[in-house]
Amino acid sequence: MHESALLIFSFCMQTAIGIMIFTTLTKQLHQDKEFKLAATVAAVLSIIGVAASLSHLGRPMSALNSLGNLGSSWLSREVLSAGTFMGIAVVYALLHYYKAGGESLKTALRWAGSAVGLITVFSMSKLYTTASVPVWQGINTFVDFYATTLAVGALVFLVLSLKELQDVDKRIYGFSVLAAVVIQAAAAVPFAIGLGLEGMAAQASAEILRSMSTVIGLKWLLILGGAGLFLWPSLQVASVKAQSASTIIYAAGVALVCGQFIGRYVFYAAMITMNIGLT
Amino acid sequence: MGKLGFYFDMTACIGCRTCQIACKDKNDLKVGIIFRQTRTFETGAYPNPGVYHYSGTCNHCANPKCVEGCPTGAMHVDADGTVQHDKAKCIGCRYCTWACPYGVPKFIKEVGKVSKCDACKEQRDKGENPVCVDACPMRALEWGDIEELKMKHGDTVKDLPILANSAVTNPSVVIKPKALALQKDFRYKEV
Repeated sequence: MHESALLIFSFCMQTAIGIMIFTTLTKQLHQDKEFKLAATVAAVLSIIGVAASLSHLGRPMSALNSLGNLGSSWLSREVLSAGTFMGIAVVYALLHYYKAGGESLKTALRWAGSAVGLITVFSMSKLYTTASVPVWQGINTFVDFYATTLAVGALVFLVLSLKELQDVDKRIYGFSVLAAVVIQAAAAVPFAIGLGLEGMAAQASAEILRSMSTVIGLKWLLILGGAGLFLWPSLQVASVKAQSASTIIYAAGVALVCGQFIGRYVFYAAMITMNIGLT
Repeated sequence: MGKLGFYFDMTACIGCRTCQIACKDKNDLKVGIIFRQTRTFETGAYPNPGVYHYSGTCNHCANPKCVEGCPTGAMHVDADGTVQHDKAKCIGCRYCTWACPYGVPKFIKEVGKVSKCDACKEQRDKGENPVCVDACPMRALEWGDIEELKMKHGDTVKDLPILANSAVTNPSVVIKPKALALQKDFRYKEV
């Protein structure tokens, strides 16, 4: 697996985007809360992501050249949207520290960050699905990327904001995470079946996936287990002691993040590009 | 003049790899980097086994995925219709190596950039052929207007089981295939 920089980029960026989306939604419900830690982590993760993407380049100092083909390149569009998201996330976080800007500016930044974030995930998905790498082609990549964004984003946001959200209804987060991972799992089944029926490059990827079946099993165990574990305290917050609920939420967060990270590792590890004699 | 491209006569190719060496020499490529590569494939089984060679390089496609996907515009369609690579713009993101279904662009670690066959632009500007064409002892390669090459050589194809569907990028290549190269039971043979 030679794409560790892209693994870090895509995972950190999608997590940051998910945090921004759930910050935006939660602020609509609880306008009195600040979610400063979540804003900070979203900014830091987006910076880590962009830094990792630069380290993937052979010539990182010329990175701005990547904005030169917005007309047809999804990678170019992804660079623009990811860079814009990072800028928004950093400014939004800084506003919490310097107490600058009014609430309306913060609201605008949250909504803009969420919208640009969703566009970034779309561009990211599109650039992989349009490559000559059969294992990346199709709807599964879109589902996988959006599910990671929403599930990891929701759970990490909640973990970071648990003190502020101690007494509030958490069902929306529990159901969001569960819905995201169930759709992710549902899309993965026809994808796995279909892959083995396609061309040689796809079958070579299917062979790699078969050899990683234990890792993939662990991935789904952690993802589905994490989402299921999270649902319990999110449904029963009123009757469960705060301490034990928090412990379960932290454990669910760790499981889900690890599961999705393993999934992203598998995504890159299974990459086989078409070539002559490997169609 | 129409679209330019290569003609490859598989029936003449003996798999000597002189084209590969000439290209490597002309472009001063290091170990592990090849712009034109001759591959050998086996088909069938006893009592009807077969072998054929395919000499491939950039097909200078009409719809090049490398050009479409390149974020910098380094990969571009030149005035003569060939797909060229501007080294000054390249940032070494390697997306073109994922985009090309023929595995043509190569990442050169030492310079942190990609490079590929330019169909010997320098030679062609002087009215000469690409070096692979002139190096071939079997005259299995030609360069020119793809429509003219098609008319000149008659029974040609641009789809083979070993190649990506030509509808994807519309490659500017015409191939005179061996009959057994149309069989789907090919196996890559390390030479």
